[in-house]
Amino acid sequence: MKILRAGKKIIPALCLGLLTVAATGDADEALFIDAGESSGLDFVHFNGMSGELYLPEIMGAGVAVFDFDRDGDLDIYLLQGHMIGPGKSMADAIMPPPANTSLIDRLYRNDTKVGAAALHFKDVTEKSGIRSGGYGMGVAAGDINNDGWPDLYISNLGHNQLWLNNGDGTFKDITEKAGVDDERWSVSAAFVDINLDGWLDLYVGNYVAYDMENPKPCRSATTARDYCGPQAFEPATDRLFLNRGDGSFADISEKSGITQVFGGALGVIAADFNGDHWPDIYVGNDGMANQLWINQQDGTFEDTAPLAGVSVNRYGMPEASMGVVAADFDGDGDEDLFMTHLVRETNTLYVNDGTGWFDDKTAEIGLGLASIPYSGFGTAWLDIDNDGWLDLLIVNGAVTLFESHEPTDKVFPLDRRNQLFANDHGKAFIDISDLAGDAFQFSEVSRGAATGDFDNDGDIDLVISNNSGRARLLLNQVGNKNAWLGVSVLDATGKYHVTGSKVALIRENRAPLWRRVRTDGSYASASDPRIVFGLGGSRGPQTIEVTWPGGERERWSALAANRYHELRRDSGIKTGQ
Amino acid sequence: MSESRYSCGLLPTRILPLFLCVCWPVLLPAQIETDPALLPIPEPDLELLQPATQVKLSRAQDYFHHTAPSLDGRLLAEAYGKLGMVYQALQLQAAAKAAYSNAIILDPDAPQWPFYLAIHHEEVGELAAAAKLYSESLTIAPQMAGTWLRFAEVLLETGDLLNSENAFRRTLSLERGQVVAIAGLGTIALRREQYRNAINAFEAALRIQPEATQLHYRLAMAYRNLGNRDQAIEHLSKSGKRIPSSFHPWIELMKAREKGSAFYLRVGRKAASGGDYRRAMAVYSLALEIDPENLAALYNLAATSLVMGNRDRANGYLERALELAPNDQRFHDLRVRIQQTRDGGQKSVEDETTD
Repeated sequence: MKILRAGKKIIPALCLGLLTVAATGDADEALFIDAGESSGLDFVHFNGMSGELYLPEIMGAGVAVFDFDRDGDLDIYLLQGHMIGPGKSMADAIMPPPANTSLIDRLYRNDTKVGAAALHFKDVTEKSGIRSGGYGMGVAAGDINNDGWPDLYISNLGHNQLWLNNGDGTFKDITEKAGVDDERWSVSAAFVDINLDGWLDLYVGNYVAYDMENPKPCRSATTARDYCGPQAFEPATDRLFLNRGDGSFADISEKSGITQVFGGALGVIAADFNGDHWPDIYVGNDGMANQLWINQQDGTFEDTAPLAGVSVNRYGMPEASMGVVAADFDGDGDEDLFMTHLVRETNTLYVNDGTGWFDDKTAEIGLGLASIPYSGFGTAWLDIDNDGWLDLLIVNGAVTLFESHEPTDKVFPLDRRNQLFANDHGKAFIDISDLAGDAFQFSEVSRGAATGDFDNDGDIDLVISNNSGRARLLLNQVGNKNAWLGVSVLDATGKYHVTGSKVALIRENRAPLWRRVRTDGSYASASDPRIVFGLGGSRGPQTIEVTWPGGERERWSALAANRYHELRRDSGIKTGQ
Repeated sequence: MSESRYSCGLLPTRILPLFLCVCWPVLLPAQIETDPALLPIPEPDLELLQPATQVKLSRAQDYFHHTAPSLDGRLLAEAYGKLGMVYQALQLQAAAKAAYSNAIILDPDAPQWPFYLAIHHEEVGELAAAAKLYSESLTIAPQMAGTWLRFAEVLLETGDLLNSENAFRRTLSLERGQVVAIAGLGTIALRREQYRNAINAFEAALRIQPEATQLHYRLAMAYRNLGNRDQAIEHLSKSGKRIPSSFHPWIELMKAREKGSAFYLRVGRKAASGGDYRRAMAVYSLALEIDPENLAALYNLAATSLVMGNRDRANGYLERALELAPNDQRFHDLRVRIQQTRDGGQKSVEDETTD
């Protein structure tokens, strides 16, 4: 392996890869630029803090990236907060929102014209009919009625909402009819077809029982007043809703077994972890053991997390588990897990052995030390430079005032820098945050993170939602210098993305590249279900094989590089079960 | 809190009580007078802290301000170091860091100050800096088994398995049967996928410290990876949160500062009332170590010394107490009793001790 020297750093360099950029430290090669303000994404989050140090005010909020109007480009949904606490009014706000801010969630439509040099977003909340005025935490995106128009599930501190996309630019609140409300404190949710009937079901992760009328006064180790941790409250059970296919859902939480163990959920992700072609669900709990719900293929789930090695860290200790993502980062064909934790804990990478048993390889792979000073929330696997290896984004923000060990005159001193790590052939991760451009020099209270290709240029961009701050739209500047192939994996009618499908890029003399169709993961956020494969220098026609939920396989060949393709079920060549 | 010592910026007054880190002094007066190379110590706003903590901290700060101007070299280093321990015990990391750094500047041959500064770096997640400082401490005091242990654990976290293993083995050469070191070797074996070695190490550690239930988890993972599912499940069922424990005298001293002198005065009185005067003396001494101007500690040490028949030692404590509180009648009364007592021990120590 060739070694390049950059200042005092010695970094192994790949052919045309991200690490070369890192190693040369080329200032002209910023990996991302912040295009939020220039594109009209002017959202600023308001957390309603009044000095009472209510725990919910530091936990939100997430972001969804989805194409709600099916015009081929990605739109953005951002969750908002408002004043909280008995008797609190805007006069009590320590960091008031900008004047004339309407404190409801916002929907931004991507109105970028084809061929335009810059992105353009327009706030279409009013027109969309979405009136989500709850204290926003998280969002899940998925097409619950298979009409091809993606819908939204909003998790709040309080009642949740299901917004059905009418297909005409407007949404309808069908929460009551659908029977998917939960009045507790929900954070992350995931759409997943648990019974392979073709209809998306819904897992809702609930956090703790928080009594706003009687918030507990907590203190840090210094004995100064501070935000409470989850241990001060009773954890809440999660919910699992089964889609009946008629616009309504059945609450099967008890029957499915998922209420048997719980622990204050923050991160939720669904994937087939044990290779049986049925979707399983992993739930990251704050300060308590996590659950790996293995699908028993009969409507029930069994928590195998302890023996699977993913309930606690390598020492047997539970950690904070805010954001959770699953992907095949090492190219061996199975779903590995990564999750973000608190400061002084290390984030955790659990490597799957292919059967649903995992080993904590965080330290070995170089993701431990760099995470100790940070509390991580949103996280995403993305192949930044399209070299075929999934790199890693972690967005950070503290959860206690106490974490600010250094003197500061900040009113809300929870801000931290975000981090990017380059994947070195699945063997190691290298912190490239310093070389990622100005967009990674911001110090903010980041919470949500979602991915998607906003400018349809073949590389993955980011949206990061910040607590008490503006949302950031970070455009990838380097990915499409390598070849790429984009796919939408759709049902036979071409209407909706088939969540949970495993997609392989077949490569000559090399192992396939595996990705999964999904919108869930990260923290309280939803991402674009399209898949972009990084092809490196391989610019010729490509072959894709899709393993549909349940295990049926289908193959498409001669797919041109550097463009998006729609892969409709039954339009390829069946290659077996 | 004097206004001149703190700079509070332009925050709205209603939120000032909420934020610990907003008010910081520029320099302590003693430092300016002694050595301009010393770091300023950012002191937290005491008003934000709980009353009992305020008392602990202000006592330590007052003592430092009172004594530091007359000290230099090793003694000033000690004053800074002890102040740092108080801050660190309360997790006031920035202040602890500055105080320890000054102690190191003033007395570079003392092994405890780099040790404590290493702990600070560990606690804020700067493990490379922590490892360097543990190494420096061990260069000065290579026989400190506990320091080797901390060094080994940090090296393990940084992924330096070889040097970590060496440090764990060095710990065991100095302190045979050290459970954390044995478990550490097991963890290294687990990371090297030497599952049988890992099992042997964890089982050995559990034989010595069966209450360290956390080790069962690591044991379970080793058995699982060996393919022994039943043993893995059995040990998972036994796993808990209790970590293997270790002892380091310098850590204990710091913990003592967290508990405060009042705690040790209570423990001392209990020991004395049970007739265990030797332990009472040790515990009162710890209270005095934490709070060198604690009159109750001085009185109890003097009184207990008298009961134990050591009039010279009793007089020593009494003299120190009278320097601090020349008009305190209790000490004058005790001086009279010391003078009257030729043999000592006739009077119950319970009658002598005080809060």
